[in-house]
Amino acid sequence: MTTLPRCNLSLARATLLYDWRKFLPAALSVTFAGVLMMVQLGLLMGMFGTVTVLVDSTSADLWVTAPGTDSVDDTADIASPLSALLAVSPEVIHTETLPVRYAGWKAANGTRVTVAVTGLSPDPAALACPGPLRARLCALLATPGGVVVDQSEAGKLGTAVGEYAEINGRRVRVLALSHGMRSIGTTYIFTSQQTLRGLSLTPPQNQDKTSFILASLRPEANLPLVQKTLQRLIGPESARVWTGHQLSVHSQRWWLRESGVGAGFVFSTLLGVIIAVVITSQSLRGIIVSQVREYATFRAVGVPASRLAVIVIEQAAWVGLAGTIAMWLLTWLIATLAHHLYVPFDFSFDGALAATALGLITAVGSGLLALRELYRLQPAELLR
Amino acid sequence: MTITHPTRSPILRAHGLSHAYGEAATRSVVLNDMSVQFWPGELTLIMGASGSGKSTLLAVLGGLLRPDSGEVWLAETAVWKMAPTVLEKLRFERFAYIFQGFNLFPALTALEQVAMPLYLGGTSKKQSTDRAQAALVEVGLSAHTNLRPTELSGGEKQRVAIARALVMEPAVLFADEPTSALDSVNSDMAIRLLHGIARSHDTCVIAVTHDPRLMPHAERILTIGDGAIQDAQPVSERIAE
Repeated sequence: MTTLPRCNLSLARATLLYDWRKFLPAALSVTFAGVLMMVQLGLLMGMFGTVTVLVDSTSADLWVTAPGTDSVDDTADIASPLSALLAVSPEVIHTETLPVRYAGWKAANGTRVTVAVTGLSPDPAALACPGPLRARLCALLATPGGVVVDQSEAGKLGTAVGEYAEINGRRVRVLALSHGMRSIGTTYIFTSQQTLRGLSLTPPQNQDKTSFILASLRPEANLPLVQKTLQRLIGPESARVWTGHQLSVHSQRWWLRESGVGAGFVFSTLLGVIIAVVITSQSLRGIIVSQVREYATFRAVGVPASRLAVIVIEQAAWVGLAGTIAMWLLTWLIATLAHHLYVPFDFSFDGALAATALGLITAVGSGLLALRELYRLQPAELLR
Repeated sequence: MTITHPTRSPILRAHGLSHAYGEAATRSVVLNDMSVQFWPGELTLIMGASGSGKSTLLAVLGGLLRPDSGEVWLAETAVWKMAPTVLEKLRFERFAYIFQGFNLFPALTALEQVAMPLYLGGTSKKQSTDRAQAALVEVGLSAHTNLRPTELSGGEKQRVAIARALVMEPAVLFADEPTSALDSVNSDMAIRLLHGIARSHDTCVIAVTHDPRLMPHAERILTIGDGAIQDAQPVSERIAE
């Protein structure tokens, strides 16, 4: 018995496999448009993700800020006694004030930097104690005049563990270095609230003001409901109540908008997509044009044009799929590389899904654009 | 000119066909009130000088080019009164074509080339493949079903193109210069195949050609010029003359 010959009746796949070199530019343009988008998104999110490092590294359920706050690094003061008002709610277990004061830093070697001095409770269980400081460093801050700076900022601050520096002309000593508290735009210096008071960064009339009030709720509490209740209690004119997540997202979005980088990202992504559409549709067109007589032959024998259109679209979809799979691999590779090089890079799964959708739409759209080439030659013209 | 056939009725008839290309000063009349008929089981050659309208006639008869006036009947069905989609279906079910050049997809094997139009037209994969296999056997390519166009000689490519037409089991098979790209040995093979198809499948085969070597194989030869049929003798009579 002889084996039946192989018979692949998907013209789209047969052509793709046979002529894959011709489809390569189309697939690669989809890949690169996607990678361009993903890398930009990764770097932007990695970078702007650091803006909210203070919010993201604490375990507070609720953050209270001045009304009209757009970003966590740009706030006005609120009245500290509001924390007592929050504590009235039976769902609130604990509240804490978190003052952040901007000041001039002068290192022993003369380096001057504007810093955000953050007053924490010297208690590892404190709400405001950021995750990277919780194990050891927050407790260390009980030492009067002691500060903690992030290892990544030590160079910029011109300091090291054990060295002295001046904040607002008052001497402080670097007790330890934290890891992972770097933020673009703000250089955080962590100290105790007591030391912060000693630095005289707050005018006397503002002594009962703070930048943030943090609250933790009972585990079973309904977060949105408590948030709403407390907001109503405080009143929208005195302060705004956020969940940590809301404040984080809002701040990052504000940075994306205000910095103009968001618009730049949209523009360059659009440019990438347009280039991909042009290259992909030109490649697909070229392939159809080179086979236009064969397609016309099929149309002559009465194969419906819709069936041939499906072949072209199927080809385009496969190109899009191959392109986006390559995009995932390449983006993963770049993310891994960025991680090894300490470049802040956030791989966004949602972003990758969006890039995949965009890649497939680009390819199929290009296929649709290439479709009219099918009608370039009428079957009767084969008879001239 | 009316041609009669002693025993059978024609499968394809055309009446009053006129067609012109261009407008006003550049207008050139290619078909001028032409009437003609074709019978099943016969190979008819359409001959004539270049530009005499042979290919246009083939396109109009084959349901590919709407004439300015006149009508084509397949048996009792008026071809040019049909809606485009109905005509498409008629072409799929009753017509087949062999064009100049082989028009084979580079990516497809011989079997796939032949099965593809059937499959795309809605025939099941199994049936398409089986019929394609049979057609390739009939044209003598059973050993080449897995080869792509680059692996086939010119004569073999033309046989694939013939099999691709044959597989449609057409009532009428239109061939445009089926031997123009072939050497004499392959030309002879191709015309014998077409004649064989006419005889064994009772198909009406209509071939446009320049090639006088094909004349002895045809039942009938139409000579056209100036948009009209100048001679439509059965070959037996012409050879007798």
